[in-house]
Amino acid sequence: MQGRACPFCGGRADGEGTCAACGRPVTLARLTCRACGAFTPAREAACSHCGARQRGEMAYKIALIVTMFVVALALSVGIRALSG
Amino acid sequence: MAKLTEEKVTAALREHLQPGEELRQWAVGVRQPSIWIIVPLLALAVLPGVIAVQVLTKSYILGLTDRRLIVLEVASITNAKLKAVSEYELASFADAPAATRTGGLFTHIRIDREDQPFRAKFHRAFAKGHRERAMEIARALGAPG
Repeated sequence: MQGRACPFCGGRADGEGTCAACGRPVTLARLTCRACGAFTPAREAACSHCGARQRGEMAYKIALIVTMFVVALALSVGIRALSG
Repeated sequence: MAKLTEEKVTAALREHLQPGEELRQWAVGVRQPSIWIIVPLLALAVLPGVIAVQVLTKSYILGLTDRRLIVLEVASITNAKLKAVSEYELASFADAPAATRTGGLFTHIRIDREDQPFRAKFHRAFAKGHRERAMEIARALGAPG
């Protein structure tokens, strides 16, 4: 682990696996920032490189799913109203 | 769209190898939402339910090396666009082995860690020899060394 390159800042890890430059564990789970494309720690709210806020995907996914069901329900009601 | 080939999978994993680290095995799997979510969604409306299940499904590439298990979360099983990376030291499975099981179609791997939980299943028909690949990874995580 010692000497391993930090995925976040490029620094080198000490014997404990912590980056000597930024202080983060080099094995920390990481996300690809949607704004700059660099690795940023998954636990942190903002990108460690560009500062862009890291938003979870769940918010837009739930909104998309709810919209699809509402559209399906509206279509179903509309078709029944027209045919009956 | 064609699914990921061995060349694409190994190329995606090689970017994350450390100097001197050897990639031993790989597998491609998915994590679907719970059956308790899938059934009500499909019961409500079939087509939106199928789309919702697809939207909620996460795709992973697993890479087993001589030192680590590398987990790449990718866009889908046809697109290796990287979304997230996590890793586990192989030595850490000696104290807390992963829960694994193999059925007729899928090999399931579950890692219960508070900081980095992981769960996915690996279909035998993804590629030739994929079942054996997934089982080899499961064996390594269950009893490393």
